Amino acid sequence: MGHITRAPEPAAHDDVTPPVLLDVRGLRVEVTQAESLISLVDDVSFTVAAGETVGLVGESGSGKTVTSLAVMQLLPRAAVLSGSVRLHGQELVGRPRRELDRLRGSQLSMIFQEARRSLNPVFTVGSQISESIRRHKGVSRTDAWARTVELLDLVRIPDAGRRAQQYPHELSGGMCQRVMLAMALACEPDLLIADEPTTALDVTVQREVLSLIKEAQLEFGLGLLLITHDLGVVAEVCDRAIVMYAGRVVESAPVMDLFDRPQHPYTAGLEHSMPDPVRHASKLGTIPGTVPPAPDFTDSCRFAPRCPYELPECTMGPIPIETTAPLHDVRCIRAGTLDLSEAFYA
Amino acid sequence: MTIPHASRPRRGRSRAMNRFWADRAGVAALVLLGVVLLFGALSLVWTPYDPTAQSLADRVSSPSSAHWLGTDNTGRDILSRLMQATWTATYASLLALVIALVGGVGVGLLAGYFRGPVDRLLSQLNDVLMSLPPLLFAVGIIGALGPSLRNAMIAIGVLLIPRFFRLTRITTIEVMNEDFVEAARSAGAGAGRIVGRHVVPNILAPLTTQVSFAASVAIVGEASLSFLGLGVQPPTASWGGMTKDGFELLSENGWVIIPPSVILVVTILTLSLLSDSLRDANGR
Amino acid sequence: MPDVLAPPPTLQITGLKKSYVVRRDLLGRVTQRFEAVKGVDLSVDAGQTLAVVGESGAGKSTVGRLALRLIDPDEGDIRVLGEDITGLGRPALKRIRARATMIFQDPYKSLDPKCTIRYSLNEPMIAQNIGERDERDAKVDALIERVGLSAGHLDRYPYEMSGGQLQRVAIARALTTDPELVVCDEPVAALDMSIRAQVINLLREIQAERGLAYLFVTHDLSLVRVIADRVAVMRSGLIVENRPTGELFDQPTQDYTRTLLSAIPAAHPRDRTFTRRSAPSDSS
Repeated sequence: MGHITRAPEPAAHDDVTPPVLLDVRGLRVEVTQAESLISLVDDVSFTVAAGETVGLVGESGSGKTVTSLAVMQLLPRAAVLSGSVRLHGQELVGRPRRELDRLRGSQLSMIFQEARRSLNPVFTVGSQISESIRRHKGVSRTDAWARTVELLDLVRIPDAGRRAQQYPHELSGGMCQRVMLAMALACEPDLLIADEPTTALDVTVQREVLSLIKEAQLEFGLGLLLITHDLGVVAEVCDRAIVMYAGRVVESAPVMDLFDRPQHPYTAGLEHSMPDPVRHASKLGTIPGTVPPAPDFTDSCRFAPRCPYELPECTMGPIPIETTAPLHDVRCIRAGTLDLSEAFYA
Repeated sequence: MTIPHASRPRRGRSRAMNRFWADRAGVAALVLLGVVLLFGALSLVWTPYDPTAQSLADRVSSPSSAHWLGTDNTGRDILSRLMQATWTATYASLLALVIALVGGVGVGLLAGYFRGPVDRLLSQLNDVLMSLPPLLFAVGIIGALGPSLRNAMIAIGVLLIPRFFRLTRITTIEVMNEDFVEAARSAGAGAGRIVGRHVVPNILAPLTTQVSFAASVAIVGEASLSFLGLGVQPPTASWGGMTKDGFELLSENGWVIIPPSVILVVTILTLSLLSDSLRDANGR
Repeated sequence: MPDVLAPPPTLQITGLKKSYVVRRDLLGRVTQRFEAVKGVDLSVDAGQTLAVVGESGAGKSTVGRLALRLIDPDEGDIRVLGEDITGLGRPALKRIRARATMIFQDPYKSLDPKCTIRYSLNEPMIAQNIGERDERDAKVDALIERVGLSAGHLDRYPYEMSGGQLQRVAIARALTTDPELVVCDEPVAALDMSIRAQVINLLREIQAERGLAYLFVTHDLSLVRVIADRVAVMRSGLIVENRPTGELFDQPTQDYTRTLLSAIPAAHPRDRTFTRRSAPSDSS
């Protein structure tokens, strides 16, 4: 597998549009709490195309993890899911468990935040990968093992043959993350969902894991849905980003646009809370207040209490998502009319 | 991500307490246990009849309006004896528990807090204690000190020490490794404050579960020894002794064995339910 | 020429070394040690922030704890406010604990889940015998407001509050004894981005108000630019480079520093770069 040395352009939208792999529409997840139904996420819609990297960005309480679990159909029984999640045009919501199990791994794969915890400690890493291959592809033990070693090589684990026979506790955190990636790629899925793959890793390891994921994507033409709270990760590897706040999508745009011209105040606030060595070397923007908990979600704008641009209209009724520029959607009635360049800097 | 918990917690209460009070079975068990304890405590100030008063004319009768639970083989009122026996059981298990807690928890705290040579010595002593065969040990103590309730419960208490020692020691070590203990030390807190304010409240959870369990061991132990005649000596009432009397009367009257057996079973079940409920409340 | 009348640095460390025993042979002799800190010199002046950066395992957290003598060094000197604390006995060390405090990484772990916020804030003052009850209460009330929370939070338990709120409590706790040095061990690593910004700004404001010296341990280099006056880069127990922030970022002299700097994620897509194949940083 070649090594990329030049920075690739974020995927441009041209006439030859790659096929849409994942199509989420009107996703809504509710749970029962104390006799009433509260919604954790609602009206979430987005797409991921083959070869495209989409970042689902949000902080704690934004609903991004619930959304990713909903897409994978891995929500606990207590959650009520409505809306549509289509993979290759086929509806996943409401599918029987057995069919979903077949799809997971072969068409849709997920890697999680704490790699070591997702690996079974009593089996060698090689056997876990081989088992997955054999279950989905039905090949022989020897072939599966050969493929396993190939995959470990692919994710740049040195001495792959020997490492495959080791147990998860014998490998470092970064290596476990790579094993997990190998396992996710084993059955050649079309769509890979990575949930906070770089949180709690050192910067250098973070870099390696991200570049590995990107290279795997380029090699296999995968669609990649990256769930993260770190805008730096989005800036580094994503083509499009979807910003979530308090259970809803508030903005969605190609990354260049999102960083050059954010249109939702929350997006601007989030961007300005990152250190910006160029414009504000020693200042950080801060959004006052905190995210509302799910039981307190309103129908109208949920960011309004913290927004310096709030108007009475913002809290009067539901705010729809509108397309304000090509491929740029915002849920804000003042979108496009505000200069957010210095927003939230004290 | 959190899927919100089913019930809204009461402000200012620890999370485990909220969970416990939400578990109806556990609360019911606690209430029932309270009733049993009150029943026994009441015997200290009042019983329908004198528990030791014999009346051979009325012997071995089934429940009647005069004697709600009937009379035993020497005409003593079963209800009164049951109340006294309940108090005996309470007192006995408390005695055993105190010995187990002081010897187990107290020493376990020392071992867990100081570690090093202190820990090694205390752990080895505990291992010796653990390796003694329980029944032989109990019979041995009673043989040496004489059969009495007090001696029987000393034996049981000592036999319960190892499990408390080990549990306390290991949980203390875990808590000592927590950041908040380091934070307390960095503020200048001394051993007393750390153990009293940080270690003990945080090890209470698994301990209360063990205490429930140990209480049932103590009660069954006392009843068994009394049944064998090695524990409470007549005429003092005890559940084990009353069961033995009822057992011997089975051919004559099937009722006498029932009251002590039932209350024994109910108490053990209640303690078991309580200990399950405490364990669930404290689980992560 | 050094100004002989200038006050001593708030914290001064020379030749600090710390190793841990990894393996012993059958006779108990040490056969393998892990050297966490191999000889570190650094100093922090009043009102200044020194950031100690490095990857995991570099030894930076160990340095933080050694600075407050939460662990004892094998070799070297630690001077806090001019006083050599390296060999101090317990009672004298306790005094220092009031003047040099620590903020830990995970507030859910550094605050005792069984203690109310009010107690956690009071504890350092109680441990140090500072003030009467009402004086302490007044101070706690003032501090909780200063960190952006309200008096209503005082009677809550940690589990009822968010990570950002709890870290503010941790900051308040570190200030109750009016220290002059605060060691911050990855204080924002566990927090969301916008909350991170809130907490960092709070720390800076408080530093400006009180003239505090901060020893800021972190693996996040992008933060360092915002908060630190000087940066010490650590690798495998040694300081590789120790320079004023601006110089380090603009003209790093060490390759390792350059590697770390190049690994910082871009703040804007136009600055994105893919790594060339870098040497694997995990080798086991």
